[in-house]
Amino acid sequence: MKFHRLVFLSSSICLGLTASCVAPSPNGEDETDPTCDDCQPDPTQLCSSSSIGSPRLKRLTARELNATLTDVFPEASGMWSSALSADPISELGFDNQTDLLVVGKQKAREIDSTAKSVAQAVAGMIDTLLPCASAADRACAEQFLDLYGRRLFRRPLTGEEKEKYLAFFDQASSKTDFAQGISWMTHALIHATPTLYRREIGEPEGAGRKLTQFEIATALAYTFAGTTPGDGLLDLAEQGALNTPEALVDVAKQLLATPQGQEQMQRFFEGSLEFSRVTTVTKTNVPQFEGLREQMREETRAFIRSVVLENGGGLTELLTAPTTYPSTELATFYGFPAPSSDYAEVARPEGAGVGILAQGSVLATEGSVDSSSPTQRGLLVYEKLLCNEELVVPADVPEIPEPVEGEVTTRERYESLHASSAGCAKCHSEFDPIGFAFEHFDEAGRYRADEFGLTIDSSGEIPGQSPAVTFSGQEELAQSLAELPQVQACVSGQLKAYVFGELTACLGESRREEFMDGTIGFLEYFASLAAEPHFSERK
Amino acid sequence: MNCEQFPTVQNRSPMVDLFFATRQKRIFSRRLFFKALGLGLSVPLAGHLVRTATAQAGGRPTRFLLYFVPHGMPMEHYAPVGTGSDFTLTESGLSIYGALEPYKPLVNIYEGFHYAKATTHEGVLNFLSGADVAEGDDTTPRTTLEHYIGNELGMRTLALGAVAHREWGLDANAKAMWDGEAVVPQKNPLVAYDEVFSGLQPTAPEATADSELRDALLTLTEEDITALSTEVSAFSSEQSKLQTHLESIQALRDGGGGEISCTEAPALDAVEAVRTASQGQGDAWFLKEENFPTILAAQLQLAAAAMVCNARPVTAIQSLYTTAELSFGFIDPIASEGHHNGLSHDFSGFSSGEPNMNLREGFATAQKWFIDQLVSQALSRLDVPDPADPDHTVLENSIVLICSEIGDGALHANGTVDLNSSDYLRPYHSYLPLFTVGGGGGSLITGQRLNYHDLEADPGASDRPATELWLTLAKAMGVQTNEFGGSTQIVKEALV
Repeated sequence: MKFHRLVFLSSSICLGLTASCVAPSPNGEDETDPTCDDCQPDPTQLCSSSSIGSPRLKRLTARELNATLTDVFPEASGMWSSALSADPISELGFDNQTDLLVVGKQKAREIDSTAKSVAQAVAGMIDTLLPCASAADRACAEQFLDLYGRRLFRRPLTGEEKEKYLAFFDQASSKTDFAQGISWMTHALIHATPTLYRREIGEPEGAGRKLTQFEIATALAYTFAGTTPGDGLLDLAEQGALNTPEALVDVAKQLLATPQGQEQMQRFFEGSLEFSRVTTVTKTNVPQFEGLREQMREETRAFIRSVVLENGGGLTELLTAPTTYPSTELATFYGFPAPSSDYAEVARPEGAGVGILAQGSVLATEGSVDSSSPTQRGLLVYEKLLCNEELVVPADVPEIPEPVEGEVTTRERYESLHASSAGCAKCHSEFDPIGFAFEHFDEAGRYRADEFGLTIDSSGEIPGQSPAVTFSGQEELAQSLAELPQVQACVSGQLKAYVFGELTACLGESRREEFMDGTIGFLEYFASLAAEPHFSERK
Repeated sequence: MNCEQFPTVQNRSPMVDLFFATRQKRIFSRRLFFKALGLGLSVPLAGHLVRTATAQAGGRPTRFLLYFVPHGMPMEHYAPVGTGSDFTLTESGLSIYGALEPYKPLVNIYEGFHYAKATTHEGVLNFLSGADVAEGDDTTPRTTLEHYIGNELGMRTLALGAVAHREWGLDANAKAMWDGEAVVPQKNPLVAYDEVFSGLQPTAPEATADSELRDALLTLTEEDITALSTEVSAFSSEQSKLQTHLESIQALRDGGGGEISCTEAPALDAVEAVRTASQGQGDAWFLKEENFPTILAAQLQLAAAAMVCNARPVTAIQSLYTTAELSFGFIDPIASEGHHNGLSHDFSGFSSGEPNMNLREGFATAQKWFIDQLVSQALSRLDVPDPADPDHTVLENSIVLICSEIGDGALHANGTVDLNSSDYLRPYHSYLPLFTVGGGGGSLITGQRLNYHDLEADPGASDRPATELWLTLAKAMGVQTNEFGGSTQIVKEALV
């Protein structure tokens, strides 16, 4: 298998590099291309077996910390405010990548402010939280620590830790009162590293390290539900029940069945395909678009909910499902049959596209402001489904000739410009031919039989494939992509990175082939990663 | 390692530079700190003295405001007319900067600057830091001008943002400000207001107890981090994270501003308007595009009030992330096509010499609105006697840097570009739009148009690195340094 990477090296000239950084060797060992010192890990890399990565401290994302505090103090829900700002997004589109998550000065201030707000809410409802509060003594504070400290730390506190936080409670309550003493202690507990970091350090065992039961419970909860482990999961850890791959997968599946788990799966697609960006784009010639763009996002979420979450679909179903789930207003906009209710299933009309790449949110996000865009749509496939390296746009990009309705097609405009210069053609020939597949969809994602009376040519090819992969229209492209090993490797590699919070190679290979060949779907593969050695061991 | 083994300025890496900058600041601050302790002052008072001393390094209190407006300017509506000290801002098409005309004696225009390793939207990653990292690298630590100045002066920079990033996170088009890591500007003016002016609340009897308990809490946290750091000492990347965490907790002990000159929190009508409009709306309200004008007005008023009171002498506002496709239809129908692609990047007919002048006018209308807002919501509020120096106005004691990461929006240029090939745009040229307003406490020579790459008079000239201007402004703010982002030259015509 040969993967292509393209890099713009100057403002007007780009050179194509066809060397793959990493690839499995014939004997099954993983080799790194010695000529490629600064290459980033490649999501498409395949390994013959799963390996184990390094110990990690994973700072909770803002989203995870907010969910954690909500779940630890459900009684105080809505009574505190979060000051946590958005987290950095990785090149793959995810906000949970370990290397980018640190507690810098700004984040420390935000955590401090949030912790203070939660702590004040706790003080304000101390009688509800602590039936023993009327005693206002150290024993009652210890009860608080046993329950809420365990939830925050995701394990029982050690004797030394308990004494440390109770001493702080003593100091605070002696200067204020019992409720404020609990409040200060809560503030300190939220600031603590066992709260802020998912600890995946483990304990020495043999030549490597074995994660503790509580570390595993924590990894399961955040990976498959995006929040802290509940009391039941912590109880399982305390009993040592998270001790077989089967047990971990079982818990993972239970978590994925919850609303929080389903949201975790949705977030993977939102990050990797960026379809939520539709809510921030405009279309100058489609006045009703701004009123529809939120609905387009919901339509795609409903599509994923049905195809992936409810029906266990895999890559083929994602790319080729012949249905969609629009609101009534959107269905009218598209010219589709009306759904029985908003976001209920409708069959797409014959020839009007299939799968997630035909979703209005995807097509409109990757369309231009006043016309379709073979370049942007082709790039989406090129980068997100084929995992080619992200391209740097040159500074002096010449303009695409203005649309002239009824005189020249979008494809002709793009071809005339991008083929006219060798500098442009070198790169655009890698992705524009993919983007032509979508030419039956206008900039707002609507099917069009012709382009203002002009015949549309939606044929093209996926460059760099051997044997050549050609297609006519979006439906054939989608089918071809679903069958391409490069796409299967790319998407499964992205899912691994999302699950493990890092792009380290070879962490989740056990059932990858089954996902790639369509034997199992996204949910099954997602859950199966809990059984990987990296989920419970470290080197 | 002895002193001679430290890397030289020329050969050390950006990471090492960051370390050195931090280290030098600490040495400076600690020297003052211990001197203050030697005078018998308490620890909090000694810390306060350090901040006050550094903020008034030039003798007069100084403040700084960075105002970042993305996407450049259409030059025919932007360029000043005239040269040297004889120029006007009101005779260029729609005159984007026309509202600054009354402040002209305090205005400087800087032309002929560029920054490297940037071509498009992601150039904003390097624009204000001069970082020597690859195009598109949005993770390598760096520090941008406003945070550099704040850090060096011992001040916490107040970083605000109006729709400064997309709802779901901080991508490469949003990272204009850095403080080692990328800074997420505060989007909620109500939160920022409370933080900035909380020190002006009446002092409660329990304040002393709170202070002691807070100190104990932070000590507890520091001990916790240190213990974990020791435990994971075999894993350097994880230990490095904890070192950053530890330094951040230590920074929580520092205050944010200088000596606050106000006795009560100021009433700000735009902040109150946000309070009313966002009531019960939740956090997402502050990233909604339709709320953008309301939020930006509040942030401008807040930044100005923070400067006047000296509560946050160093402030910054990032108005929009660089690719925000925000409709400016609330100003004018012509500006409704989206700030990013629809207006600023309207390429149609540009290279053939027939740009769509109508859309360019729409873009000018949007950019002019940004400047008008700056003047009406902030500069006018700075043009008052300085409570800390009544002989001068706050604006005379401030530096307001107005900047954009590209020149003409249609070109995406990160430096000077000749526009003479276009009949429609002749005789204009595309410059990085860089303005300052304010005298910097007497440290800046103002009322000048300074052009270092005049394509008409000297076509062979080269752009100067923007970092030379950043260094100049840092020095004008009283920062004791001779280097910023690799530059050691200053814009000497601007510095007293």
